[in-house]
Amino acid sequence: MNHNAGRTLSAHTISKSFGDVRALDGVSIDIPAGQSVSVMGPSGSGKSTLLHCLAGILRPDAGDVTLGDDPVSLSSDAARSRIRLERMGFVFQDGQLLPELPAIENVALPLLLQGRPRAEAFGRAADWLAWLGLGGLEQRRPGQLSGGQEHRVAIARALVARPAVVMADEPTGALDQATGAEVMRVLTAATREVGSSLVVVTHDQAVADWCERHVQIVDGRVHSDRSVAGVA
Amino acid sequence: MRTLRLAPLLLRGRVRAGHGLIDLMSVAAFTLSGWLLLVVTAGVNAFWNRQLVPPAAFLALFGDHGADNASQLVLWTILAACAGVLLIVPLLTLGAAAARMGALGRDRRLACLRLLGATGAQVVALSVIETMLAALVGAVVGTIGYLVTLPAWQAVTFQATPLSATEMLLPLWGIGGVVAVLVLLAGVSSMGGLARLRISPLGVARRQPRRALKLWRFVALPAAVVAWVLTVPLLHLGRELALGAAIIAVALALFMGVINLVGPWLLQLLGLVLTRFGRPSVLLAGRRLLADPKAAWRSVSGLAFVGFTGGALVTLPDFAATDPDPLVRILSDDLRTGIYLTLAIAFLVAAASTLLNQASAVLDRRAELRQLANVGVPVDLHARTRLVEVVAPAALSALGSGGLAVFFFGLLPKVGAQQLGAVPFALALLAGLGLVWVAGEACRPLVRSAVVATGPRID
Repeated sequence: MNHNAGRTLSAHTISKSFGDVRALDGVSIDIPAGQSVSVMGPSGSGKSTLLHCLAGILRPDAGDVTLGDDPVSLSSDAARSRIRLERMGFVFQDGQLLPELPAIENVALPLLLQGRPRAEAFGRAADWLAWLGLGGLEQRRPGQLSGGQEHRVAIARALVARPAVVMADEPTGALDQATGAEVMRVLTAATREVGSSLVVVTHDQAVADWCERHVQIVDGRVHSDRSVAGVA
Repeated sequence: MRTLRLAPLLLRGRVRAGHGLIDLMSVAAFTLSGWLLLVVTAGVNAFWNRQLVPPAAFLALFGDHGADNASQLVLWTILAACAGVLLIVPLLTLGAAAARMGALGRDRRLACLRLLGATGAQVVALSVIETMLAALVGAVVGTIGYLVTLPAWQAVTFQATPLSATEMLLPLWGIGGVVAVLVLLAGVSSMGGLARLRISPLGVARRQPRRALKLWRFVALPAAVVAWVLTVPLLHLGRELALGAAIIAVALALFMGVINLVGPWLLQLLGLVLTRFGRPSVLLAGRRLLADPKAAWRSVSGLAFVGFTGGALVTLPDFAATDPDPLVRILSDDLRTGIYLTLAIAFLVAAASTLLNQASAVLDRRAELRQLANVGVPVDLHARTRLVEVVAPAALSALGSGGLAVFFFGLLPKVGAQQLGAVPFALALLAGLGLVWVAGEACRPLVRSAVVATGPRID
């Protein structure tokens, strides 16, 4: 089941500046396959920048990011796109779904982008939607779904290609507490099911509590890094 | 290949999601450009064919000297080509506006696809394919419109002979060529627009902030004026009519280019002046003009063309009343018919262009309009702002280009006849400004719908 074993996501002394602002200052972190990690910190601490560097969305000014044998940060733009497509999944605050596509097409999109046959892509998308309790809502567009349902569609899309890592940036930021907790329960269960690592950037301790490891970022540096036993 | 597979999926989704209105407007604009491009090309083609096989009614006017006068038919072809040159710029501007309209609302989707792992080339290809498809649909509908309206051309007479449907019918390769050109231009326009954007997984941003337009743009105007003043005495329209007319056609195209170069700079200057006023609507309009003078120019460039054509009317000699030569009389009548026809087409293009650009501007600013409404800004402020933002540049561009046309045609050698006068010009100008106002008002419901909060979520 766990085909992602041994695929560690690593950042080695990465730094990133925006003009005069140093967002990351020599951050190093290793995330083993299957581990869930929360990245917390005050506003402007550099936690989202760290996530974007880990995902290859941003290139660090110094240091490097690797996913198993793939050099994420040193790859070309096209190669980083390929890594995101084949080895990563994303759940962002506002879901980042395409508003004009129904749920099933949103979920099938990564597989279609990979060039998988249409029947396979839609079949797997339907399975994921059913697994996440969205059976029967396949043809609804994001605007016709509740916030929680929209996030579950985003989770299905993030996991449909069985990625090595799922990146979540404030995944419950736009939701009420109960819905947020439900989304985190589903997200952690789904990543466990696939064997993917999970990196969650959040400012909410309740969200972080769903993860096995907590990393605190302050002023662009790792302030604390601790594992927690007995996470659900 | 993967991109081609995704394109229909995304296109269907866009239609289902109610982007239909935007796409419909885009396709309608492509329809109009396609139809008018075909008409203009067919017109030039018809005069070319008449030059090869002169109409019997035209020859009959000159009795035994018919064959001698047939050689003058080249003049009609050149004038039709001139009108075509004048119309091509606004038609292409309309096509570009249609391409931009079709691209609205795609920003978020492009960023999202990049986040999922689509490459930059893939998302650009998807956008270009969509635009070209819209252009193709528009061009096909425009072709149908062109074919259906062919018999109507019998109402228009040139060279003492009504235009026939057969004359106005382009060969199949000609129609295919025009459609292909339109579709290709739409693709190029779309690609050009996207090249100015940085589409990253985090969003879409301009590659570089807009810089203020430089003074050299304005310098092009006095340079063109001096060049034309020096060129006109060298024109010998009496002896080398064809060469002279060809030079005039080229100069006309260059002047239209200069107007397009200087216009945005002048609007930037206008914006600067408007920001000195304290009224919120004027201040806001000034800031918007300053923020993107090129976009503001695109909104009114159709009107600049109307102004230019209207200016041409002021200086057009009226030979018909005084000259006994039948050739001069026919030429004079046909010139007037041609200019009114060109003006009518220009009005159609300007109307569509203005409406499309205004609608695009409103849809582009949806979030801003909603935020302003949320903090208590009355909706009427937007109407007043739009009035200043559009009518002031329109008046400037129409008057400026009209003045330039008076100068351009006024310098040409006269054959000693009276002028048609300023009344047609004033009427054209007033109609043009009225048109801008109507186009702006037509967007009022769009503004209202933009400021109304979106419906409640299902939570």
